[in-house]
Amino acid sequence: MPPLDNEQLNRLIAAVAAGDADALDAVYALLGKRMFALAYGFVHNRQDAEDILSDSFVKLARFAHTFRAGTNGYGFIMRIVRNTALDFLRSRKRTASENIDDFFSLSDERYSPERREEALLLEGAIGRLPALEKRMIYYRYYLDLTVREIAKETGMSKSAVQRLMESAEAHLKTYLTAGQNPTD
Amino acid sequence: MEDMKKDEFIEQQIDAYVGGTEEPQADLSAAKRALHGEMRRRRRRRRTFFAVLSACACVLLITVLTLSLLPAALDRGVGDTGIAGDANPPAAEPPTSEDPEQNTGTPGQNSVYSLAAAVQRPAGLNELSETYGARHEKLIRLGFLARADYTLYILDGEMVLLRADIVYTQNGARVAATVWADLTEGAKRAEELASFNGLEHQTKTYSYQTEFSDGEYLSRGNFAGTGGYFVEVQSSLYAAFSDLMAYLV
Repeated sequence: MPPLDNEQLNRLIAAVAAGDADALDAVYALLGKRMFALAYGFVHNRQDAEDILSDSFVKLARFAHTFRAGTNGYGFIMRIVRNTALDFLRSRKRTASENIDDFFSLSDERYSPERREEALLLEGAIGRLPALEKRMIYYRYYLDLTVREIAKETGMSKSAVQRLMESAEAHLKTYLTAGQNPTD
Repeated sequence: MEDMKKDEFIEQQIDAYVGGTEEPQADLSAAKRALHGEMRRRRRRRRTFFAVLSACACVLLITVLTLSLLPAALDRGVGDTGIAGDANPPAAEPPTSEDPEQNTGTPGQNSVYSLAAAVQRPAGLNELSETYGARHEKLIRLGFLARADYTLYILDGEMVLLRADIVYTQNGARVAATVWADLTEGAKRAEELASFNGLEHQTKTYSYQTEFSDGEYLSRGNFAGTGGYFVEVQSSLYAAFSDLMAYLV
């Protein structure tokens, strides 16, 4: 996947807001897998995750005009997916919650065989993190929340979030590097 | 405080991780139809807005002309004093493209928001009791009496909506209710709750309508009670809705 370009995403969201249906396809091409991975983490069912993905695009089509240009387009879209997934769970009378481990359990039988080894390495490294650090990684790298947003979400202070995030990233890098170089 | 940058190495690892999943098969046709529908609605709103604006401009023009010509007509009617310029007409309003009434046709952009853009956060009873106990005591008390999940919607750091999903049994019948409480005292409204406007029936305190399907009543109610509540109740018991509304009012 190419690295995310927030300017490009901003332009695409603006194009959707202006009524350009092709821009929806472009957003899908750019973010479809990430959005699907987030949805799948909530429901653990491919069909349901694809339904959530489709519903998320309907919401994007309807509410793209509420996006403030120049702000975080990726965060805007992932927030739509997250809320759509939570609403989906509620509508099915299921508990609407986020189990962080589920967002790092993507390497099923359909996962790319060439990347499976690396995927298992990442899943193992995430699994070793304490629960709060795992949650920080999820908030920052899946949902692209800022420190301020994470602080509001968790009720923690911004400095506490920052410390926890730094610790999570340091631990994760250590585990990943050790896994990639097992003799170290 | 400048926000932390993501670690590039971790970002690449997670990127690669997500990239290894099988391509999802999502259908975008509904989204494209929604987009066309949204554009049609906006064009219709713009046409209505400009029609209202044009009508206001016409009325203003007629008023201005009438006011400017009427004194002169009256003067001629009273008699010729030979004094020119004595009865000066009131100064005509300079023509202006700015109509001070123009914002009444459209809701202010800042007062309407989308739930999709808000952050959702589950909320516990203790927190809600402390923060909103004074204004929403009855709604929060339901959490002690029945099975209830509360969700706060946060927009740009402001709590805008409290949602309660409640399930209980009344006279042997299951009742599932959702109550949305406006936390902005009417300053902001969620676009998704627009369907609660214009309900069929009106009591002294709230408007409502009820449908019956598959053995259950689905009732929706809207009342500007304590901060404004939007209520949805589904049950085989017809009285479940009115009883809940009587409790909340």
